[in-house]
Amino acid sequence: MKIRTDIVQMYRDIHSWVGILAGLFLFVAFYAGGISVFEVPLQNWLTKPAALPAPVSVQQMPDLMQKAFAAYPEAQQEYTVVLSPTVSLPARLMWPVQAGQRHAGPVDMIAASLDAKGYLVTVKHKPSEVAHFIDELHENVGLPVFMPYSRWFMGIIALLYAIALVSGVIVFLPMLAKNLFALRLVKGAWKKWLDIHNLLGVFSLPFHVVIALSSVLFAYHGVIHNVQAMMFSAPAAIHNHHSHAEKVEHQPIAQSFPPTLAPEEIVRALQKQAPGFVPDVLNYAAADKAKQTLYVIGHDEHYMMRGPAGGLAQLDPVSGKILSTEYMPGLQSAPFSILTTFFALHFGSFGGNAVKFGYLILGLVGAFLFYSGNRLWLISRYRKEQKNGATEPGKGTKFLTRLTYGSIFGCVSGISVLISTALLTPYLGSYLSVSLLYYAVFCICLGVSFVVPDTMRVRVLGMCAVMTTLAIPLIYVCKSLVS
Amino acid sequence: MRKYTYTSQNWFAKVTAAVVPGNILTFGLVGVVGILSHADSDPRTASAQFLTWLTVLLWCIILPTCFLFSNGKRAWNYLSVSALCVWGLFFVLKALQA
Repeated sequence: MKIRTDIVQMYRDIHSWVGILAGLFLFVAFYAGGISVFEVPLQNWLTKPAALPAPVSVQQMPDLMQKAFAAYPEAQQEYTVVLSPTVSLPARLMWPVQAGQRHAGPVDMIAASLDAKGYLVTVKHKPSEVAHFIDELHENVGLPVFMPYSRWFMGIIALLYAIALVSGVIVFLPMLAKNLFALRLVKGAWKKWLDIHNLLGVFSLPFHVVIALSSVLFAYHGVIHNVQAMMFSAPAAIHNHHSHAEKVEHQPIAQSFPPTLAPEEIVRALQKQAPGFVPDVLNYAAADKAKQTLYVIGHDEHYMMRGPAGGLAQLDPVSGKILSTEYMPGLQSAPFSILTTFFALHFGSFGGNAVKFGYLILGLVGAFLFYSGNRLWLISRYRKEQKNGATEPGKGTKFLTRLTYGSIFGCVSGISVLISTALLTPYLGSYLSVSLLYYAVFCICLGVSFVVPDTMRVRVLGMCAVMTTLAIPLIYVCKSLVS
Repeated sequence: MRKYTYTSQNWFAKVTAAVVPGNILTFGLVGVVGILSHADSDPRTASAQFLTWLTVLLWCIILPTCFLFSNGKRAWNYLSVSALCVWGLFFVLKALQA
């Protein structure tokens, strides 16, 4: 394909500058994002098991709930019924220590179970923060800043990433036929990294397009909705379930909640209405004095799912009737299924573990794409300097070389140290301690990158990243041998 | 015969054009599509969510292609005039709908 050489040259300049600006942030986003595909298994792996009797059977749940609510009436405000207990959700019935918190990460929960004699046993439990921190690192492109500014910054990086994708394609198109499968590993560093970068970029392009678009959406959907609210008239027809909810409100108000169906009956009612949907968790919350809401989180491997944890359905806790199916795999309307597809393509929440492994590989390959891009940039900048008669890299090149290796190997080492430490000790309890440990390792690597001589840099930092990462399986094997 | 040669030197004016009038144009286009498809302001509806994706898609098209204007001034002029026209159309359609 022929494109004017000045246009190609212009986009080549843009591609390299946008790449160097956003590349390091995108590396962290992709590396941490690839790992975050397995956030739930990672959290289960790193969480210390709660000291509780084994979860009660589904049939015993009404008994457990009755005893727990008698002892802790405040728990009725907001509680979770766990249908498939895990290490992170170790009991059939759990409620937050502080109700009404809207927090994305793990919170202190009370987990309740019954012992062999049928007495209520409760324990305070909090899942590991490490997996959630890695996910936050992914969402904030590696920055320790807090919402909402980090989201704005992430959005800017995602827009730069979109520019890099378009410009990269325009630069590559004229040499597409010649260089598509070229991999000249022995013809000098520049050609080697160029071919690696092109190969990875072209073959993962559809994935990158999806990720770029959805990331911009995640960053700015609030702003866009606000503008839409100003542009369009107020909703004419309110959703079915809202009108239903209002009807409930006008009914004579009872002193306490109307009797809800037992979890077993809820599951049965759900199965009748949506046979393929497997409920994992039932979230109950008090909407007001007389009304409870019930949200069911579950999955259906046959369909795309809206969130990383699966789909969502609102049920009537009294009758078990499904009230909303917008985010429910299998029962969504066609427009919502299309929207769900866009989200599922970001999270990899379809097709089970095979797709999740695919997304892990795509994430790591994406991270390597940005590494190769930065490496290519540094080599070509040094080549240009050499052409102009310089004998050693200029100040700017040196600075960017140190920054690139320091932050890339710092990110890899930081995440590996977090996981190994969490395996070794249960003291990594708070989000703050997890963040401090990660950024300490990251800053040490960055410092080392600026201190060691050029010939040693990749070797020292690479060794550090490899050793901290190999420590994870090593610690795991030692731990399982000891216990 | 080429009238001009593209260069990355004038990137700043082009990018600001994509960000300021480009953004106004984007929301104008979204508004027109929204009025024609009878969307309302409830973000929970499918139509509002489709329009959000459309906004993102337009941003991701305008931003990388703004460099294809020959210079920053042209980018500002073309995008501003288009934004004005689209917003004019939006208000006309809105008045007709009411």
